[in-house]
Amino acid sequence: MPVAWLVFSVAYLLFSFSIEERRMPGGVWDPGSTALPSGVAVVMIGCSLYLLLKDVRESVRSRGHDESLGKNGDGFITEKSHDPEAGGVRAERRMLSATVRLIAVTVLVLLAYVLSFRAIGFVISTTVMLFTLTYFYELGDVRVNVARNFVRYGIIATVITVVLFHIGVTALQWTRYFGRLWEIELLRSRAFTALLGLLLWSVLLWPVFVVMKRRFSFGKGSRIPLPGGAQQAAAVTRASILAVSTTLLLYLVFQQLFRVALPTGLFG
Amino acid sequence: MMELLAGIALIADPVTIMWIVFGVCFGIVLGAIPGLTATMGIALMLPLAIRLATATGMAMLLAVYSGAIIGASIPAILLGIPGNPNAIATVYDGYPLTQKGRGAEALIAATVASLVGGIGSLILLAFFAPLIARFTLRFGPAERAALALVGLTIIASISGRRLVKGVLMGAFGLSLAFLGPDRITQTMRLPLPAITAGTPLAAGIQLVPALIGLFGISQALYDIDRLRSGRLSPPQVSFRGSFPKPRVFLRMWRLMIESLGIGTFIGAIPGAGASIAVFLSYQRAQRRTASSDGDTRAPELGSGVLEGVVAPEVANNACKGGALIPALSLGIPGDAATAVLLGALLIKGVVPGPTLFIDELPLVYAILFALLLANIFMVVFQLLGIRVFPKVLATPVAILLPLILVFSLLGSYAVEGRAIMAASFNMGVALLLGILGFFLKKNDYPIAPIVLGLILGDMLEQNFRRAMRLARGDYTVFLRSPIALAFLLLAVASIAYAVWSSRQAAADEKEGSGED
Amino acid sequence: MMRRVFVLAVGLVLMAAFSHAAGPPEVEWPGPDRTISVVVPFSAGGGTDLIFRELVDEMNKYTDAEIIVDNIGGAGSATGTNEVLGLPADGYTVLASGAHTVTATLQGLTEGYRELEGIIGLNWDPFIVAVHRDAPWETFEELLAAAAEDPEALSFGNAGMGGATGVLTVGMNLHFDEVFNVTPFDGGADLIANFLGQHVDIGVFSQTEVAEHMGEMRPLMIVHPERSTIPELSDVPTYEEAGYADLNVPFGSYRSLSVRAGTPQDRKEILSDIATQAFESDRFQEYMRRQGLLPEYSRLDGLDAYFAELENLFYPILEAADLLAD
Repeated sequence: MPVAWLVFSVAYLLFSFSIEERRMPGGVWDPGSTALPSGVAVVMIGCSLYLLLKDVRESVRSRGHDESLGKNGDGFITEKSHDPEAGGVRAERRMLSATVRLIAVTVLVLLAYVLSFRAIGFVISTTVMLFTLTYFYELGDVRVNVARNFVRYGIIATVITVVLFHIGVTALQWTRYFGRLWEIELLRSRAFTALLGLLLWSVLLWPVFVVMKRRFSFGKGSRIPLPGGAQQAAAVTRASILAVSTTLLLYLVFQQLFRVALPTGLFG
Repeated sequence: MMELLAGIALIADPVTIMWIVFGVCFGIVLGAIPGLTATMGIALMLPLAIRLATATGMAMLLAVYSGAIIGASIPAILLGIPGNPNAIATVYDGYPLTQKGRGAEALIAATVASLVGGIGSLILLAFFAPLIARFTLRFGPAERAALALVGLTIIASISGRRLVKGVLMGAFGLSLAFLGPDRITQTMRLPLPAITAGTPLAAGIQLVPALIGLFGISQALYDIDRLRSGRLSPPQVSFRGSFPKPRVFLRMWRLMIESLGIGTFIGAIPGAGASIAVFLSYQRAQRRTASSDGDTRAPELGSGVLEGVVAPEVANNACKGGALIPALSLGIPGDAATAVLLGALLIKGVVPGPTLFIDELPLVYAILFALLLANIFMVVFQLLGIRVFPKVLATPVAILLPLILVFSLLGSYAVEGRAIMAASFNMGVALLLGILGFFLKKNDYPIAPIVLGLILGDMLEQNFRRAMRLARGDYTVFLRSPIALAFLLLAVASIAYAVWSSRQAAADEKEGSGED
Repeated sequence: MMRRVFVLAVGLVLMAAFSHAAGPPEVEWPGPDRTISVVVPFSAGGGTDLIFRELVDEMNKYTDAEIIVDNIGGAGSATGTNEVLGLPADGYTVLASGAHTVTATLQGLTEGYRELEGIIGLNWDPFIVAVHRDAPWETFEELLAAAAEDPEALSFGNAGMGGATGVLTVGMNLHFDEVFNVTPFDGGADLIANFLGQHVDIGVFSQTEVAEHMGEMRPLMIVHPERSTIPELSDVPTYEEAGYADLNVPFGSYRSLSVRAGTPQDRKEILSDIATQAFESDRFQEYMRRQGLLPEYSRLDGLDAYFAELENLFYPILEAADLLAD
C-alpha cells in the first residue's frame, strides 16, 4: 500500500509541475496555481516514504521474531491465510475465497453499470444490476453452473420491467396531458403523479408476483423443480422481484418526485 | 408587540401549517436519500413557494430545510452513509452504535440534539442576529484561511494512533480538491488535459459523490463479508426500550452548548458551511470525553458513544439558524441553501438586509416562528419515523446490500440530477473512491481525513492566495489579524495535543503488549 | 407452462408497443405534455437565476408546454453550457446565455457560443463601481487620484476572474494604467461579504446588489451611457458624466436565450415567439424597469450577430489578462 501511495504522490508532483502558470494582471503576490498542489505532493511523498520504511523495518523485525503478520487486519485477505494449514483453515479459506469472488463480481457489475448507464439507460441497466447482485448474494457464491437460470430469468425480469415502465410512463404522460388540457394543477403536480405511478405499478405487479411465487413455491412440492433446486429457485424469485420493483420505485422517487433527469438510453 | 402578533398570525393558519408539515415530511424523505441535499430540496420547491404567500412560502422552504438536515442522520446512523455533508461526522459514532444494536437510541439522541441545535440557534438568531452578523463580517480572506487550517488539524485528532496515515490521507483529499479550475487565476489544473478538458472533471471533484463513495460504497463492499451471518447489524433494541434517560442529555450540557455555539457561529460565516462545523464540534466532543472521564477509561469516541452523535447533530442544526443570521440581517447567504431562500424573498419583492428588520418586521417574526414550528414538527415526525426506520436493518443482507449500492450510485448521480453528463461522471467518482475506500479500510487507513481535505482544500487555497494578494505579498497579514492569529495558535495547540496523545497511546499499547 | 410464460411475455410486449404508440397526440410543437427546460448555468437564488425565473414564469403563459428552470452551476457557466451542448438539438433544452457564455468560450472552458444559436436577446444589467460608506472617496476621480499615488495599494474586487465582473475590473485597470490591485472573489455573495467587512476597498456590483446595501455602499459611477432606472440609484453618474467617455469595457452582464446549433428553424422560431411575447409583456417590462435592467432586444440571427460584437469587445481585455484559451 505505501508503495502505491508513493507512486501516486510522485505522479501528482509531476502533474503539479505540468500546470501552466497564468500571469495575473498586476503584481505577482499570488503564490500561484502550482504552489499548494506541489506542497501537498511533497507531504504525500514524505508520509508514504515514512510508512514504507516503517513497513520494511517491521517485516525485518518480525522475520527475526517469527510473529504472526496478520495482526492489523481482521483476518481477511491478510497474510494470515498463507500460514501453514491447521485444522479448519482450509474450510475457512474456501469461505474467504467465495467472499473475494463476490466482491470481485460486485466491483465488475458496478463498473459495468456506471459505464453503461448513459448508453443503455436507467431502466435496463438498473434492473440487470440489481438482479445480478441479488442473485449472487442470495446464492452466497459465484458459480458457473447457474448460468442458465441466471440468463433466462434475468431477461424475463428485464422484459417485465421495461414493459411495465412503458405502460406507466405513458399513463403518466396522459395524466399530465389532461392536467394541462383541463387546467387541473393536481394532475400535473409531481407528488400526485408519483403516487399515481406507485398505485398503477403496484396493481400491475401484483399478478406477476403471485405467478412467480406460485411457480417457485419453495421447498418440498415445488411444482417445477429448477435445476439447482430450492436455493436457486428462491434466489431467482427474490432477485427478479427485487430488481423489477426497486427499479420502478427508484424511477418514481428520483425522476417523478425529485426531478432527477435519469438517462433514457436505448429508448431515447 | 403588534408586529410579533401580526407575524405569528401570518403563520398560525391551517393552510400554512399544512405546508410546514408537508415541507418537513418532504425534507426528511429527501434528506434520508443519499445525494439529495437541503439546497436541492429548497431549489426544487422554489417554484411552488413563489406561488404561495410570502410568509407561507418561506415557512414551507424552511420546513424542507429543517427536514432535510434531520433526515440525513437516518442513513448516517443506520447504514453508515452520510447522504449529505451535514451528516459526515454523525457517521463515526452513529454507525458503531447501530453495530451494537443501539441504532434507535442513536437516532433518538440525534433527534433530541437536533431540537437543541435548532431551537438554540433560533434563540441566538432572534436576539443576537445583528451582533453576530457584524462580527462574522470581520472574517476576511486571512481569517478564513486560518479557520480552514484549524479545520485541517482535526485530521490529527481523528486519526488517533495512525497519525502519519491520517496526514497522508488528508493530503490526498487536498490533492483531489485542487483538481479543476483554480478559482483565482482560472488556470486549468487537469492531468492529461488533452483527454480530460471537455469532461466534467474540468469542474473539479465534488464533495457529495466522494462522501457517498468513501463511506457508503466502501462500507457495502466491506459488508459482503457478512452475507454469511445474514444481517448487517445485530438485532436492534426496540424503540420503546431505547429512549435514553434525560440524565444522559443533562450530562452533556456543556458539550451541547459548545456545539451550539460552534454551529451557529460557523453557520453565520458566509461560505464556511456545516461540514466544517460538525467536524469542529466532533473534535470538541472528543476532547470532552477524553478529559472529563480520563481516569475511568470511558469508551473512546468513535467506538459508538452518544456524545459523538449528539455534538455534530447539535452543530448541523445550529448551522441552519446560523446561516440565516447574515442572510436576514445583511442580505448575504450563509450557505447555498440560504442563498435559495434569499432568492425566494427577492422574487417576492422583499429585500433582505438591515432594512428588513425595520420595514418588514412582521415577516421577520413570521420567519422565526415558522422556523420554530418547523423544528418542532421535524422532531415529531422523526420520532414517529424512528419506530419504523431501524426495521430496515432486519432485511437480509443479500437484499439490503444491492439496495444500498444502487441508492449510493443513483444518489451520487442525483447531486447534479439535471445534468446528465456531470451526473454520470459523479457516479464514476463515487464508485472509484468507494473501491479505494474499501482497500484503505482493509489496510487500516483512516478515511475521514480525505473528506476533510476535500472540504477544506478550496477554502484554504482560495482564501490564502486572496489574502496574500490583498496584503501585497506580506505574510504577516496572518499575524496582524487577531482572529487569524488566535486560529493559528489554536491550530498549533491542536497539532501538539494530537502528537502528544498519539505518543501516549503508542506508549500505552507497548505496555499493554508487554503484559500479554 | 413454458408456453404460458411465452404467451404472457408476448402479451406484455404487445401492451407496451400499444401504449407506446398510444401516447398523447402531438398537436403542434412543443406539445402540451412536454417540458422545455431553460438551463441557467448558475446556482439557484442568484441575480441571473432570478431574472430568468421571472421570464420563464411569463413564458409559460404563451405555450401549452411546461417551461421550467434548471440550475446547473459550476466552472463559471461552463458546466451548464456543456450540458446543453451534450443534449439533442431538439429545442427542448434552452440555455440562459449571455456575456458569461462569451467569456467562458473565450477562456476555452466550453465550445460555448460557437455551438449555439440565438433565440432572443434580452437585456443589459449595468455594473456599478462602489466603495464603502466609511471610505474617504466621494467621486471616482478622487478614488483614481488616491490610487495613482500608490499604485496597486487599493484593491479592486470582482466576483471571479472568469465572469463579466472580472472582465470589467481587468479592463478598467488596464485603462487606468494598472493602478488597482484587482482581486477575484468567489462569486457575488462572497465579494459583498468581504466588501462589507472592508477587506477589499473597491467593488463592482449589479444595481440590485447596490440598492440592497445602500446603507453601506457608496456608488461612484455606473458603467453605462445611461443612468439607472432604479430611483435610489438615479443620481449615480454614468462613466461619461464622470469624465471617462473613452472607457471601452463591457457595461455589465448581458442576458439572452440560446439553443444548440442544429435545432430546426421552425422550432427556434416558435421558441423565439414565446420568449418575445413574454419579453414584451407589461409584467416583464415593469420588472426590468424596477430592477434597472436595460432592454437590448434581438432575435435569432440578430442575436448571433450581437454575440460576434461582444466577442470583439471582450477579446482584447481577456488577452491582456492572460485569460484566453491557448
